[in-house]
Amino acid sequence: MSDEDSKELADAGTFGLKAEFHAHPAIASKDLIALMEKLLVDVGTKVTEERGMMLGHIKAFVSTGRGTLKINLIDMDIGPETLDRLSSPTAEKGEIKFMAALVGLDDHEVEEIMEDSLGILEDRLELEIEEHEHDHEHHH
Amino acid sequence: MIVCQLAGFLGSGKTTLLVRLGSELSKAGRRVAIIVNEVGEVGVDGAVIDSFGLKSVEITEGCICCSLSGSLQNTLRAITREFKPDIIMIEPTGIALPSIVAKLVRMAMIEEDRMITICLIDAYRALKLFREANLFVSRQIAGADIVAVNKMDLVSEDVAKNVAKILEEMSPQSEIVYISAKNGDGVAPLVKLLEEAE
Repeated sequence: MSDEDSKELADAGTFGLKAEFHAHPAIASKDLIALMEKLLVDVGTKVTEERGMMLGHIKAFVSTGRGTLKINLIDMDIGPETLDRLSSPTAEKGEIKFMAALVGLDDHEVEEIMEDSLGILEDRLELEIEEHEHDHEHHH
Repeated sequence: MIVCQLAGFLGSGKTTLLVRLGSELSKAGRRVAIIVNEVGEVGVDGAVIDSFGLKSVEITEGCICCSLSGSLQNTLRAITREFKPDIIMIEPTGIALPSIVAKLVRMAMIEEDRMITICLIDAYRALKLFREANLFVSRQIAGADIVAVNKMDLVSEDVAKNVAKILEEMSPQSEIVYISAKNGDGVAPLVKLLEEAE
């Protein structure tokens, strides 16, 4: 359709990962929220340090089987915006989807920053990062 | 059947608006199909949309306006044939060019009655975006039927006026509306437009 590559035009790099998590002992939902917010802010801080500003979107979605958590970081001045729909006071396990699209970085740089920041979660959560399958369409 | 594209730069609030519009239209008895595109390997938005009880088809690992244009057209045809929706809502990535997506929809030959492109702009970051990514953002806005200035709950009247002035110069043919997808302000006319567009 078009010879233009919109990702190149926008000068944006992207990366996403999916991980199962287990918490031993169970983590309080408020602590899980704080941990996830810290993860996104850490990525945003590193991007700002590297590029002088953050232009893009860092987002995460957590499902625990007993509710969901959605966190967006778009602007460092506003900080993380969290939609807490967790219905249980604690979580023992669940799934995390973590994705970022950032202007001024390439895919590899975004991946490196995000993976480096995952250490924040690993202090409290046991993570099993899923190998990516190269399917283009995922039906929900 | 109408096709509505909710476009806009990264973080402009596309998914939040899509959930709100999709939920309202479903409540009104419309059959709503949703196609959501993520440029990365792992999609977050499809999971968010589904968690609100809506059903989406997620296209990942590229952009539907360029590398995955064929996937978009195949998905449009399959949804039209199998689900027979009243409305198909498309959420492209934040780095897609909506004018190209609109052309792809027209070329998919799904016999839509109308195609509407709504391009969102984040009022809070608009001036920064116009400064740092002006060329790209202006290409996203160009040709939109409606430019929805979102996150009005976060800005002062003065900022809103400045944003409006720039948008009027950037895309004079577009209708400009002011909304907060988060709290629902200004969204009702968009729901009405989509309900009545069939």
